[in-house]
Amino acid sequence: MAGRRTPLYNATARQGASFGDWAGWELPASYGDLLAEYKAACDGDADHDSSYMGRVKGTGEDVLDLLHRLSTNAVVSLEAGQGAPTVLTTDRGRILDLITVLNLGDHIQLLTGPQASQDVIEWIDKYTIVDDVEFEDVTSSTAMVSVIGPKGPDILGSLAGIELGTFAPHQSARVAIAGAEGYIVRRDLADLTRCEVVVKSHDSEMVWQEIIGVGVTPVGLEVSEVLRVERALPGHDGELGESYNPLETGLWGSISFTKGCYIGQEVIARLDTYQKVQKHLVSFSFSPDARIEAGIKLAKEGREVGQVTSVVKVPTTGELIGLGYVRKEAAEVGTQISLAEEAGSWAKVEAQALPFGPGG
Amino acid sequence: MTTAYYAEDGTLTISITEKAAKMLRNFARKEGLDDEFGVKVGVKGGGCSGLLYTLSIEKEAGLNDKVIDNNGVKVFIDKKSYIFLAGTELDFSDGLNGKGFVFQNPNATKTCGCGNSFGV
Repeated sequence: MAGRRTPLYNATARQGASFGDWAGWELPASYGDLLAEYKAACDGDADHDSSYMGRVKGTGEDVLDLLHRLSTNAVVSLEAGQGAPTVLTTDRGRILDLITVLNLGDHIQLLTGPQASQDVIEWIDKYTIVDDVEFEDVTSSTAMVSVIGPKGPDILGSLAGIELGTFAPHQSARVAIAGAEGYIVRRDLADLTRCEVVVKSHDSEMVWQEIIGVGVTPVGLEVSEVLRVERALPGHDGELGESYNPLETGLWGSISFTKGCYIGQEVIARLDTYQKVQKHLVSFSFSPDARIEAGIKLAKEGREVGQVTSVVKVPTTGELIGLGYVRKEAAEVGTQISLAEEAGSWAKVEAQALPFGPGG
Repeated sequence: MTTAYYAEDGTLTISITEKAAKMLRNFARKEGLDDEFGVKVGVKGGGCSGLLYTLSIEKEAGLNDKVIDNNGVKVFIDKKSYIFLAGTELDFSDGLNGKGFVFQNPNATKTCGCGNSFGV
């Protein structure tokens, strides 16, 4: 069955995109030159159709208060223009979704994982008893374009008439681009600048053309996945889910240990206090001859210690790099781990994931 | 297993122990309310286990609140919260390690360590 198409399907097809299926979507995999796309994102400016990420509009007096009680981070005091990452966890402290909460002034916007917007709404609804809140899935009625790369803030800022270079992490502002109203949020990929613009679906082609029109290079999912894996950032498809708790994923910077209770807090606080986190999300390099793909098991001294969850090829070097969860005894940077079923090949731990920093 | 509390007509109710009733009257007096008060009990999302008890002294019931009289104290409860609290006993745990007001809720299938949060 063909996946969902974003409102920018036709515009990206005209740009030369070849499409692939991912997380239930039919998305631009590349625009024909992975090396040029990768270099544009790392050194200049690149735009990526990220409309597949879920978007939920929250209205009512209690939205932030409710989210504060249901998720890991302190979000109740977010002022207009401010935002924060937070994790919805089960009462056992397992990850339901990593979301971004944005206070846009007249309403709250949640950015969820792909295909997760309805699940997030249902989860919140389950715990809404007396609160004044209403949540609406606006994934289909809006589109999102990510402008990635060091020149992005200048280029997108001049199109929108605002200064994006000084924006704090997760800061947002209402904007109009070519008459289309929406908002821009700064959501960097670790050290790599990323500004995201969200507009109504029917305006999205025009906004996309405006951005392309000033010479920004479109990048597909293949390159955006390389950028993510290089920075040890968890993906919604492979590294986030109920198999993991947020401490294993290194999401310390999206957890408040001082705000009090939220669903799953008791378990997460105990894991922290007694240092009982058993495995960690790490990034890998691999031996040159390794035949590697997501799902491959890793072993140390004959004992299984983890599994690879993402693998990508770096366009500049042709090297394979990856992410995976490994037990704590094998998670130190520099540790060399064998591929369980391929004698002589190895994965080497390059970094432990810390998507939002060490927290504190 | 927590016991569920029933009213004389056989319906599930909210029960208040004598000790909790005495403490509630003390709190009401401190807030300048004598006999004309009620204790508003409710449930909201949050806490370690998903749902959180709420408790406050109120002068009068809300428009759609159910009002239950028990041990000389009126209990005000909104109808949505009542679904989660029917049959609950409100007690007071005092002493050095006391937890203050404690909900003994027969609907709770799990309760967090501090007792303020539960799941159904």
